[in-house]
Amino acid sequence: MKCPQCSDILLTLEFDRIEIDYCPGCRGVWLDAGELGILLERDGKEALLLSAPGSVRRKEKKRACPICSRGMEKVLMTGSDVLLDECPSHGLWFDGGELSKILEAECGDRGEEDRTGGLARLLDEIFTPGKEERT
Amino acid sequence: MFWSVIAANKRKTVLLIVLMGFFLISSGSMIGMALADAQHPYAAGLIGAAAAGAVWVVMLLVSLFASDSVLLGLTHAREVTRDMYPQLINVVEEMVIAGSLPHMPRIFVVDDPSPNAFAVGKSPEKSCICVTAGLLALCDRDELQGVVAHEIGHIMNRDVLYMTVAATMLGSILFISDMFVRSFRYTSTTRLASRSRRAGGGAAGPLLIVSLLLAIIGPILARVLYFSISRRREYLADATSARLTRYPEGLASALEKIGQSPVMLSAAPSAVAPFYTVNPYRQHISSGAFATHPPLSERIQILRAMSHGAGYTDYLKAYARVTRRRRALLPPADLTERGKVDIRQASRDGCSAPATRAESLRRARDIIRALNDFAFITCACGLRIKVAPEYPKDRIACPRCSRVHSVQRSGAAAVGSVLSASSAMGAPAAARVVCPDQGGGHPSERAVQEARFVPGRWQKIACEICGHGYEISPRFSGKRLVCSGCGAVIRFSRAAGQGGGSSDISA
Amino acid sequence: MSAGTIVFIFLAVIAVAVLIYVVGAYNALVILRNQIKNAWSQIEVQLKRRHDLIPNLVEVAKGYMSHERQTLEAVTQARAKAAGAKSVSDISRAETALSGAIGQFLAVVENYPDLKANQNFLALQEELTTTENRIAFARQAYNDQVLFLNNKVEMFPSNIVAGMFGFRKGQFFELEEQSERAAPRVSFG
Repeated sequence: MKCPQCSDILLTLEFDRIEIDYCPGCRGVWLDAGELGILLERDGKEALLLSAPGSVRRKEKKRACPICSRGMEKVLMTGSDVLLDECPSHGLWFDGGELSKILEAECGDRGEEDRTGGLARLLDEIFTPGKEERT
Repeated sequence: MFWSVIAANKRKTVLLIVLMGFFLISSGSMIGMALADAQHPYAAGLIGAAAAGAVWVVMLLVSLFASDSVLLGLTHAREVTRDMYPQLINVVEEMVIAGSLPHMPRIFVVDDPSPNAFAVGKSPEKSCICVTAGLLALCDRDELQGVVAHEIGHIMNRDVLYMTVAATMLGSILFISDMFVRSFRYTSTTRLASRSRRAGGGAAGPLLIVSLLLAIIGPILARVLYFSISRRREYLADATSARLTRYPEGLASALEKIGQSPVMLSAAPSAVAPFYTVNPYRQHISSGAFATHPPLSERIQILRAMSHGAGYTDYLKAYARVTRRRRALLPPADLTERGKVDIRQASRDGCSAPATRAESLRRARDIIRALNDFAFITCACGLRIKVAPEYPKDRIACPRCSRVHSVQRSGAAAVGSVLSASSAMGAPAAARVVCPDQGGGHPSERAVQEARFVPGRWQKIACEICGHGYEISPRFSGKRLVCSGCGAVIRFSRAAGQGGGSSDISA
Repeated sequence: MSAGTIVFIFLAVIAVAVLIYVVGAYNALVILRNQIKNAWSQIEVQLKRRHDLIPNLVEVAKGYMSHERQTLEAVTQARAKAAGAKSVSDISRAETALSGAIGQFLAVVENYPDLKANQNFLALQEELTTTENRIAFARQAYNDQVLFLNNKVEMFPSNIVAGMFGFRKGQFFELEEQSERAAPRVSFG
């Protein structure tokens, strides 16, 4: 699979029984629809308020879905101004910058209860090893 | 081994070939006559017969000499070696010992996520066993053994020969009738109309009806024949499986899992489907995925009813009890069993079967990846990295803990270790498996560069060697960073002391 | 032709018939004995393989289960005994004991998830499992042949030929008797 942003080859990362595809070039993350389904099944719907319904019109260039290479919709992540790309049948794409924004929000206001839910927690876990794992 | 079954299989194979030849040539000649000009109906019939005969001969040659390669090619099967998946090879070898087969069959894996297995080859010496990645992912050792033994049973009883020929013949019938329907559709509107006017609607009418009937009934007949015959074979292969493994529960629970699997496409040996139908999907809709097989529940029930032993006699008794059919599955002369065959205990399996569907699907996909030369890296921090073969670099920094790993491209990766590693990953406690390349080479060998880091805000730096860019989180607490591009070490000098928090290298 | 000639021809025919039978029976017995030898060598190969695997397995396990000294020692001792056994019945006994010890060891392993996740250990365990299965299946073939030979040695008239050339009954290779009795049998109703 190729990165929709910089067409590097994506790496597949597996953590805590969830797989994501990660671009080592631009640090973007592709979340497959099937994996989203697993997350949904595991964490429940509320934990995974992903995107507001409907697409958002933006001037940003449309990216091609790495699976079907059709243009992806721009969607807003619930409770934040993070703009994601969504292929309705295949999955979600997080830009490198978008990801760091999500993680920042997550790290920044921990007091506020999980705005972005289980997904952000998972991504945070993947890219931020906890203290016990540091060796 | 059932001698009468083997003999019957050989007999039926010859009979089938002759019958099919007769059927093909006669229907070919009729189609030729029906489509011909009125002046030369017999010459056209001859041409039709010759064409059908040619198709028949080609199909025959293919089914006898090249069926395995055709089938394996159609299903995109890949041959497995011991390095790739020792457990599968071991299980087959065990069954070869148990069945005293003269030769070890070749073993293939099909990258299909649906659980499935089939055997091809015209004789036991030249046989191949194919299992899908889905089956490997779904089954534990005993279940895999049950399924493999079932296929070995087909090989021992020469079912494979018959089924291959039947599949080819069926394919040729469908092919010819398809041709006929198409050409009929084309000619009926033009030439036929004018000709029947000329000939006064005499000879062409009945001929047309007959050939049309043939074209319609032929495929149905062929299917009925194929399906009805293969049922008994399945029971007998199940019996052989129970006897060889001495553990009927293995196959029973494998069948149960296959039946419950969400991605069920086709049953074990009807995976010759690509060979005998033009369109395999049509087949599944019209007759159900298990049309060539007895109902799964019944097969499972029979296997589970074998509480007293694993021998053929025990299977036949269980069969009679469960199905209440009076006709015995086998003539008594075939039972050459000496003594009693005890059921063995379940084997202790190092890599257990997956608990959830999602997990088994993940494993199936991992096996497919391993077959397609992906490299698998398990980092010490618990992250598993799966690297596509087209990934250009030799080194990868773990995105989680930035340890550098070298990508080992050993051709096809060890599927078995992928499986066991993923089953180990199932338990988060055991997630910290041995890292193959802790840190990637000795730190002293790597280039070191200095960078300034101001805590409290996001900042961008670039590796001086390869130019790879990084965004450093304000909460980054590490002292150094290993460049994922070139493996160089970037050491940070801190502007102001602000410890604590988790380290974060992202973006 | 005198009566003597007729009797002579008659006796000669009988003698030839008997000779043919004896040769045939003798050859059949030899074939059977060789088959048994062959089957036995199959078993021996697998037994040897098992003996070679066990020290490695114990070595890997040692690092993880320091508290289970006894179990590991039991396995090592049973292995040493099995490797030293000579006659079929001795081997049967020693291998049965070894199987028991391995069974206990593997049961204990269940308590060590780290060990169970070890790649080396998993590979060794798979090898051990397949070796045990191969022993079991080869044993079945061997015992079938032995039963066949023993029937020939005991039954008339082949027992005469067997007695003449000193064919003796083969010994069955019993392995799982004990462990099967000890472990609960699973039944599927």
